[in-house]
Amino acid sequence: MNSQIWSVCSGKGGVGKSFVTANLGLVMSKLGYSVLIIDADTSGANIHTCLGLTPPAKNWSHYLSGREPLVNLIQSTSVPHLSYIAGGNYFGETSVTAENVISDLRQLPFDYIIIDTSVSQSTMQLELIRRGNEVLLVTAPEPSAIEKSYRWIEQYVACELASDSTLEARLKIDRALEDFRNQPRGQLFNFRRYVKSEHGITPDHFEKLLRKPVRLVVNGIRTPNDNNLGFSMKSVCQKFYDFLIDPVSNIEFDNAAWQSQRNKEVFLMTKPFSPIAGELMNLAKKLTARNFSETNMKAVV
Amino acid sequence: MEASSYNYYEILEAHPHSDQLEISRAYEKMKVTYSFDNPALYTIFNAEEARDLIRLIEEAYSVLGNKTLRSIYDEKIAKSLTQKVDLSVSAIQQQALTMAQEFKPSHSVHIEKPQFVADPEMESAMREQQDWSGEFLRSVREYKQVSVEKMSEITKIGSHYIRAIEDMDVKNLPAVVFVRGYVIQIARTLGLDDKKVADSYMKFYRDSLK
Repeated sequence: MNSQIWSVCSGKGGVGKSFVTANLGLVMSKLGYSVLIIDADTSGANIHTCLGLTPPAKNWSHYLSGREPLVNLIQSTSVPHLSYIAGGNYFGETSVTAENVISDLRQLPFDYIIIDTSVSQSTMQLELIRRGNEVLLVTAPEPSAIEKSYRWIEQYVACELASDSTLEARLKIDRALEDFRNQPRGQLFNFRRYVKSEHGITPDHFEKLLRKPVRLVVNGIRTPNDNNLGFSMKSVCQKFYDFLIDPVSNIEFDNAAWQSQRNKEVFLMTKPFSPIAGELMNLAKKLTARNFSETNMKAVV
Repeated sequence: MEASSYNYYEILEAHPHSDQLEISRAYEKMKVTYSFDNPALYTIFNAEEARDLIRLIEEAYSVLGNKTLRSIYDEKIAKSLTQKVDLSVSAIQQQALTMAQEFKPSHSVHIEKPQFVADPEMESAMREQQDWSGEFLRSVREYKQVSVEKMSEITKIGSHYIRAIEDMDVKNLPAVVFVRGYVIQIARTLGLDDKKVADSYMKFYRDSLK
């Protein structure tokens, strides 16, 4: 088996990352794929709540601490083809590397593995996200979420650029970003040109980012203007950093979603014909379409 | 900020092959994106930088939004790959101006004049004529060698209306205002005093309505 690994991330808590993960997983299973959802949010696991389940005794933290193999942690759900691994609080050191996790995950018999990541960025998690097949960044149309999304993107890009991931390389990129943000922008706004001219970093990695861009999901759309946010953020990233992100989905705000969360129900089970369900279905179809990344991202100029 | 160091297509985020409508749409979108109240700029561009960007966007559109200037720009961009080219707006506008002055139509537009033999008797009858009935209009048209089809082609009036006007066939004619317009068109095509002809014709026309 060679499962596709997707990571769902966000710069800020409370924008609906777990909600998107759980319901996207559900939609994918409806499309006939076998899906595993992993709650890797070690600081506040709540996928089980989004799925309307009680947390099992064994969870992701048992894997991180090396007490259980992954296979023993998989829990089935009431939905066919949909399984999950619950999250648990874990603050200790882990000897598991991102490479281990990926190779362990790839051996599991699923078509798609969707990881709900933690808001707090550890190097291990960044590596894990980077090595996966798709990265979804969930944000909300409000300044604090937007700000933190940009910071998240910077972190991710820094990690991606320093792909050999020696600490030195990471620090160098981090410093370059820091300098870039603080320099007076007289004539060039362009991060790519900046790192090339000032720090001598070859921009080949930007091409890599083009092939596997961060997919931006804007959750909680309330006004027509919010619909432009994805495009605007893409444009800003292009102008400021010179790399592409892909505004892949706009999910509108629905009070019923909040209501179902309160009742510990799975939203798409109670409201299978809501606009959110339709949007998530579109998202799932887009992401699973073969050669999606090649057909979707046409480089401008 | 020196705008000419940027590619206008990059600024508008439009494809170089996109048509004028797409360019306009891209421009509208960019203007919305970089208006400073857009939350997406938060922590990335400050108010001043957003203004700079808007200025760039306006400049890019001032060239790409105009078909002539755009084609000059495209040419210059292609040239700039091999040599140094002045890509500034003023240079582009200057070239457009020179092109406009050099432009001479390669062939003058040929308007076909009706071929007819001038007949002094008919000419004086046309000058003297006070009562412009449909019948007289027809005789002038035939004298000037303009077929109904030709008349219809020039005036864009349906040939059945032209015939109906000449026959004063009220049943087959549209509302009065249109008829007057048609008569004016026909009179002009025949080189007649359109006001005099129309006034007189409409008098006949109203009489036949009674």
